[in-house]
Amino acid sequence: MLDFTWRRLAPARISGLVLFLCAASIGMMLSTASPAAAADPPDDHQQALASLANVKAAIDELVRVDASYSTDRNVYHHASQQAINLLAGEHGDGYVAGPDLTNPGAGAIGHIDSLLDRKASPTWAEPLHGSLVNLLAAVSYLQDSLKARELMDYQLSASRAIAYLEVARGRPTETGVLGGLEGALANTVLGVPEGATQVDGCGTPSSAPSYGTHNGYLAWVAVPAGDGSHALPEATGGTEIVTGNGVIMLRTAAASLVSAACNRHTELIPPPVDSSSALPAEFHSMVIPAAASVGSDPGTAAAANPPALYTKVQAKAGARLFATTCAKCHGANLQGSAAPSVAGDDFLLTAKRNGWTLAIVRYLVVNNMPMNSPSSLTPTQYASLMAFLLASNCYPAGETPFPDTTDPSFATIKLGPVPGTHPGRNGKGVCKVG
Amino acid sequence: MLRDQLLGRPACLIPAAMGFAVALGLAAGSAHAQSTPSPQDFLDAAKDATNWILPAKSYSGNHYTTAAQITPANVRGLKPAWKFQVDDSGPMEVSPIVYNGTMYVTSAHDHIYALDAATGKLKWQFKDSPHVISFAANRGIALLDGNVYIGTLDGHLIALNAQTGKTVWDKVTVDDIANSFYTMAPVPYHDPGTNQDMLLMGVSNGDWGGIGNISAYDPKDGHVIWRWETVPGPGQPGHDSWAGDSWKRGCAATWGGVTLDPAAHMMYLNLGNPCPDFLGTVRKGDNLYSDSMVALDISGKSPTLKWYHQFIPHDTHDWDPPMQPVLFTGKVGNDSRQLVATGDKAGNFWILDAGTGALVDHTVTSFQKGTHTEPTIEGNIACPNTLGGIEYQGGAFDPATNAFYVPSQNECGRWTAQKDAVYIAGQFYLGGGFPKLVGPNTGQMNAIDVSTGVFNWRHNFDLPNYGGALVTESGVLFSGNLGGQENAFDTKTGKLLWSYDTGGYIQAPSEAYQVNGKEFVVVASGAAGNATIPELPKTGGKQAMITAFTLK
Repeated sequence: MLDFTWRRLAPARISGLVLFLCAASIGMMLSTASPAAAADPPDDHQQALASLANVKAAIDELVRVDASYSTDRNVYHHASQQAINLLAGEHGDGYVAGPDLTNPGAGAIGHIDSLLDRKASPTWAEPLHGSLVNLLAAVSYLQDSLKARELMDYQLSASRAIAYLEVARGRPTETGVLGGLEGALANTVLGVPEGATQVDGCGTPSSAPSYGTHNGYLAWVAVPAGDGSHALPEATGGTEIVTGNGVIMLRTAAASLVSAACNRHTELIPPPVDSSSALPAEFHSMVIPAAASVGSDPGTAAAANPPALYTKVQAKAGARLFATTCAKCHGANLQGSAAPSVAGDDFLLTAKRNGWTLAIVRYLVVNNMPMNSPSSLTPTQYASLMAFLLASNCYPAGETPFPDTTDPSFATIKLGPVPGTHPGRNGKGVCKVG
Repeated sequence: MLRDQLLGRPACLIPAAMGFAVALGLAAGSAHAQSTPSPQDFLDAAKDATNWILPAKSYSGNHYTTAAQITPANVRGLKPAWKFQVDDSGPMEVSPIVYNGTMYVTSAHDHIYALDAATGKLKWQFKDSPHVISFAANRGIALLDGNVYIGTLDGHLIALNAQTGKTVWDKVTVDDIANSFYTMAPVPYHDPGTNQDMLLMGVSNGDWGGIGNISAYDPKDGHVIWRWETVPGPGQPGHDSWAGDSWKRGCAATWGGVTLDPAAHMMYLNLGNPCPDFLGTVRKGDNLYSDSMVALDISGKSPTLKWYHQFIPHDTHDWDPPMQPVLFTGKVGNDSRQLVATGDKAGNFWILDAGTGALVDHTVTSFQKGTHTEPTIEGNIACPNTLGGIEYQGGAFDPATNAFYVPSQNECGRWTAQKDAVYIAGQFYLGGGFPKLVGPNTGQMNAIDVSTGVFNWRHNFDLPNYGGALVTESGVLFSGNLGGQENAFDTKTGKLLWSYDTGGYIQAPSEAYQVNGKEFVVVASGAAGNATIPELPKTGGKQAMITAFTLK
């Protein structure tokens, strides 16, 4: 516990004062150092403020266009592009230069990248890490919104982007600590302007303006009790105002963490970052019909007259895709390395034993593969991969391509070793494609 | 060469001689003293600086060695003593076993290599080519009664002669070969009550719709002595934590390791995620004993549950606690307490009271997000993903600093649930897809004050740090980074003292041993397997390799 004899005020009783302090954030900086604009390269505090400013501008842009009730699609697309520019920055993916588009320089993501690009692991690295992830998600939804033709589709993508942006900006969690950029600015040394007076946050301010920090956390901000306007770090998330010695001290949400650390004299647990609900996205799972009934009668797995389900051209395209996307785990020879075999005797006997149908295998490929990025290929790409797998397993080619969507008949096609001789079949039972 | 002489003999003589020796009971220990450790050796393993005879050094699970020749002052002089190229593909996840100058390592497809621990020279090799259900991986062997034992990817338990590598017996010991297999090392144990030797091993079926179990197998022939299932059936306490029939494919596999307190006849186990992994609506309830640590009394004919501590009730993100529990005596405030520590893939580090399972400390080691939100059909983001948090390679407690050393990862993922979960024999039973990687993937090495649960120091890496933690009595901490660097830190300050690029991706724990009085450190490296992330080079696989270091 911080041990001092100041008079404590309950938040409810000083709400007017809090409002005054927050409203004062446009006033002069606490710092007595040179103006921020002169610094080059920007310090950490400025980088964080710049990133936050870009995030806010992007949110404003999206909210503004939503309130415009425009019927012109281009107006919405322009707002999304503007927001992407602000987030991604001039070197980021998705940035587009244009006469009526902003060039924000590094952009919100670029600024966070610069902040995180260091060997050390400052206290604020974790919340910024979180902001970065949410910003990347927001950009991806904004890119979706650029493709929207109907207003409803646009709003679906843009509102998801806004939700991610709000998390990246920071919002209160159940523990009262802000997450995201605002949380990092309010509760860590990131909120301290360069050159400002910093003292150990375990103690109390002897002068004001000053910042009390400890182990990378910002425990309090002190401003003189006299007349005048004083700036505070972004969205302080303050929990308590204490007055005394001619100083007004605003304790941050991190103050309790710091007081615990002062007793322990060790480093701190990072503050809880936003753990609120993540947001939905526009992925629609594909559930196969009738495939649930498996495992019965594996004895009849291999078809006497195996159906021709794909074209040779398709299988060749699938072979190229397999080499770049699948071979790393399933092996160039399809016999598996980290992952299982997907063709030949081992695969087909397992398929027969477990009663796998074509519907099942297609379902697994389309929904679960590649393992680190399921469903990331196009339906056409998945179809050509299925063609390559069938060809490698010695199923015959035909005139009709393997379809992009599943077919009810697939649930009745049981996979297993294909009878007969197959020119080009190797010792592992894999047929050559091409 | 001894090897040639033995290989020249008729193969049938060896198992016959084996059977005879085992029949003599107590004499068996001395008859095989040269090739495998005795029950007393296993009990004394923690204080043996020379051999490394259990997966995590001793029954306590603590990767702590009394070997002390390598110190913070001289570790900079550590150089590769030898390298051994493994002729198998897939990731290397092995905890090598070292006994009397021989090192036994395994590779992803259940190959076993017996090496001269001083030179890396191959003594014998066993090659299996099992059917792989999903992930090719093996984490090591057991030495007992003159044999080497391995659990395989197709559900076999195989005994090999420790001196020759010849198969003694081979038995399918899983209940359902379609969804069950082995990746963990069997753990040798001598039950003093019944004078029975046994191999303790959990089954991997925790993403494939089985029910997990820990079993004791007879090293003579592989028959099951007892089997304890991890999901309570009808009529058992905890059964009502599963809606309807969902318990039947509830998973809760145990694959991370077995911790024992032989004096108290207690076993500490972590049980894995519930199934289907990502669809909670079909298995409403807390889903016991998934994502829990259980303390089992093994003094009787079969284990009885003494306590359990569930870390994540009703997990929907495959956030199981894969780290082997570590049993130790640590200081909490002014009290010296019997504690048990572990970590989970959600990025939580837990310290519990070993006697009661009560929570002592909880430390968040990884960036967490969306931990209370189930995956949706539309998809949503949560952190860590299934490769993040604290993984299976284990940690170490150092009595000198009263600190616990364990690595962790920051990774995020976008999950998607499906409308329903469909059980397909021999395939994942997920009710969704494994998460798409989102954002950067990084790692940390953590030193956590046991007294407070607060970090003494953290070291940040650009890449995940799966290499576990090995602490030496001399105050050096070893751990491998996914990028391939084997690193040494000062346990007190966290200062990086030494680093060596093995040329492969590391996701195996480090170990220390001695041959002829000289200390070595060993680590396996190889392909990234399912730990592949966009930050790793796209080109080519990595040669699987064992690298041993010593002071030159």
